[in-house]
Amino acid sequence: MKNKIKKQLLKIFFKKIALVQSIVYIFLFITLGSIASWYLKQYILKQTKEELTSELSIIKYFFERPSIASTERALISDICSLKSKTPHIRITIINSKGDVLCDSDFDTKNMANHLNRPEIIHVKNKTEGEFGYAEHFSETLSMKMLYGATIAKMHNQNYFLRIAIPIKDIDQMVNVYYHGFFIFVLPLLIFGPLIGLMFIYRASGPTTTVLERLNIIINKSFNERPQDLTQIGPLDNQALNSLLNQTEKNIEHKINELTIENAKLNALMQSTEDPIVAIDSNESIWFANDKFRVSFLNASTSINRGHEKLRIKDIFRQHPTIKKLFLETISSGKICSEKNIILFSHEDKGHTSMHFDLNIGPIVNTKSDKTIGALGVFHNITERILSEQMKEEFVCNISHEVRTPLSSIKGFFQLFKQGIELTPDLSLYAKKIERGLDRVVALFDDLLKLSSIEGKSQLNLELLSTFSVTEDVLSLLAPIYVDKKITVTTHIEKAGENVWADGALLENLLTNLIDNAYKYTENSGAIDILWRKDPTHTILEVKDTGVGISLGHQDKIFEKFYRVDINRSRNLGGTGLGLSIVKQIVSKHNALIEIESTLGVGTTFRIKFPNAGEATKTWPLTDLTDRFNRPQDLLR
Amino acid sequence: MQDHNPKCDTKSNKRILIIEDDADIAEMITIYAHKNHPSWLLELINCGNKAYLFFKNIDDKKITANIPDICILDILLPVNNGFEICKFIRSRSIYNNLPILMLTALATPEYIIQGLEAGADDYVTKPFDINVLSARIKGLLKKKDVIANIPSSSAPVSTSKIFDQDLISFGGENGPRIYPSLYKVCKGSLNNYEEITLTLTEFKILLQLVRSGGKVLTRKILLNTIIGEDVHVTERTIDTHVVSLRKKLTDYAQYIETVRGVGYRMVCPEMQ
Repeated sequence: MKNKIKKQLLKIFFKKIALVQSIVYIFLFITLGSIASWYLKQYILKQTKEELTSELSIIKYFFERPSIASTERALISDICSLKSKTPHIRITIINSKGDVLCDSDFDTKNMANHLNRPEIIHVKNKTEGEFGYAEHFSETLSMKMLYGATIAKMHNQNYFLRIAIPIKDIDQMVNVYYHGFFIFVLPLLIFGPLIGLMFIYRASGPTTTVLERLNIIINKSFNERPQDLTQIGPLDNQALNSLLNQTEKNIEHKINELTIENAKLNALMQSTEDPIVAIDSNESIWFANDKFRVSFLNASTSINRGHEKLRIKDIFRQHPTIKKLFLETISSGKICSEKNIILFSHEDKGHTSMHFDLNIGPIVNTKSDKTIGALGVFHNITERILSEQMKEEFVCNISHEVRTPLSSIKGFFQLFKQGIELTPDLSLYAKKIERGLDRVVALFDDLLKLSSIEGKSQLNLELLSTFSVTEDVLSLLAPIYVDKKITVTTHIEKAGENVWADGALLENLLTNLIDNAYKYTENSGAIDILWRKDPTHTILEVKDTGVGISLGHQDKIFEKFYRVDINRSRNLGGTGLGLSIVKQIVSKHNALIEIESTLGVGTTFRIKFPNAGEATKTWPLTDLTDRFNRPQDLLR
Repeated sequence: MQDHNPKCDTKSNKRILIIEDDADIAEMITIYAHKNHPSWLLELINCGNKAYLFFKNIDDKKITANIPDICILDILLPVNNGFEICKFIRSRSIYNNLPILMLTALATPEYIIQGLEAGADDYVTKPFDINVLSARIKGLLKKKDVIANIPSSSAPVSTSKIFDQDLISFGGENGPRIYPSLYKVCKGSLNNYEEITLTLTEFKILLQLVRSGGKVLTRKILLNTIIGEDVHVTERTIDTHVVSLRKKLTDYAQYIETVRGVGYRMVCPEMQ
């Protein structure tokens, strides 16, 4: 309906243009016609004057040759009688005193002195040369006349020769021209605007169509497109329609595609729990999802502030690192990240301290291959941090609550032993109590260790010297393991001198593996520790000549409290958690563990640590990638 | 009680302040000390806030006579925890010579490092062997006495036998002798000695460990002291230098003890 009205209005607009054009056309025509007619009249006057001059010259010629006429009087009479040959011309001959000697149209007796006539004065004064002209009313003939006069000499006497022509004759001549002019031009005057109007109207048809189509394209209202395109404008031809139609279809198709892509992207951006922001190379914000707005912008803050856009530094004034990282990503075109940034969020109507891992990726123009902006994902790790803190506090409290009474038990038992004389039996019992206490402590230590490793979300990865870590562990174990004579050999290949690992966890892992090997290796056995490297991994092998593990047990030995031989394990003082701790540490490093074992021959534990870089691949956009792989969610 | 070397029990009494909220542990230490170390005068504080006020009061009034000879400090205390108290003590110059031994149930390396970096001289984790605790207390008291007896003009503080103003040695008469001003380390007798060639970093590590008199030095502390705080290297860098140092010290390498997950310390009989 709205468009129909619009269409009508558009047509009226074009009609008005045609009308205005016609009025202007008529006005111009009349004006130009008037000017032309004035010039025409002037032209005819000029021509008439020339005619008068010519006539005067002839009369003068005859007048100044008296030999032709018999007498002066006869000559004058003859000349005046020339009137009969040119009836529209009045001829008058005036002497130097102003007396009219003869007049072709009137009796000279009643005629006044003509010396004061303008044309005579002009001739006398020679203001216009040899001839004088004037336009004035003739009282004798009662009409307006154009007079021409000149001086002629006869017998040394000056005479004024005057001829006149009625103005009405000139006007008649002009009118003849006018009539002819109007006969030809009037139809043009009438039909011209009509043809123009028709032409404009017809021509406005396609223009209207084009405008309407452009309007459809601009407003993207393709559903309002008229079905019968030929009805829009009479001059619309098939080619124009076809072209417009195809263009519209193409644009509509592209817009639909872009709309879907935009919807997908928008759904992705909005569905994530992480604040996301994109900036351009001028640090201005291009895009921010709702989560970002809610988290970091005040309700009154708008991303678009007139011509000036909000910049990333305006939001994170307290954290210049964030801006620096964004700019680094744009300049280098590489992914930059920062772990555990503490930011104040506006969520929950207050300033809440929240933890984020920030990962920034470059936005690249695929055509020019230039980085034109950067997209930052603030991965909210607050819950994880709080959970870790709670777990840590829990472990800390448990540690305190259990270790403190154990201290009392142990201490008072020592005082108890000091206070009495122990019989051999009591001494044995005392040792059992102390061993039991030590086992409880060891078990508790392992449980805490396991819990702590399980809860660790972030490793302190460093490039460690395998030699120094192995030496450190062996130097700590050597004083403890003195009851068996076992040869420990360390082989470190040149390529295996360093490993990317968390120092404390690697020490822990190595201690548990060596401890395990020691416990299950008989006296005079051997433990070999080997560090080497292949293209993708740094490999640690701990090989013993112990009892070995049967194939059926190999899958289960990493389970908590799983023991191949319960009695043996207990006697050896194991907690049943050593290899579980190893497995956890391996898992935290994204490493692999392999076992090779033959009963009665020995066991080899092989740990494969990822080489530099692979262990540190922690780009949290993996979460988003997962969502990308579920298009059904995006299209909902 | 295995108190074989009661050299530390000097003629005067030693005031030992125990800040511990668990009454049983405090009582157990008291009974043990009463039986084995009669010269130890034990004072008990069972709350973090009281401990803070105790130290604040002494500092405010500058009553140095009230400063205990050693402070045994639990970490998990009501109101103010042991870390806070330790930091407060270390922030007051009046307590410069007060040894602090942390007695903690928080046995993970992270807490131990935190305690040492807060300014503790040593730590014992719960559950503990009372004899070990006793030995550590005596070690700290002895160290304190040695420092107190060094003339103020002496530059290096050593718990070892001092042969001259600069010289520091460990590991017995033929053990390594460190000449700080010369950046030299020698071992063997004075007549038949052998120079141990160390890099500058190894030399600094050794000197720092020896000067710390048995105190556990975290990797961070060692790194900051030796290489400097502005140098960004991982703490584990220190391990490589210690391994190399141990290699060069050969038989005396055992005196540098690794404290798992924490750092290193110097152990030698003279220091205990």
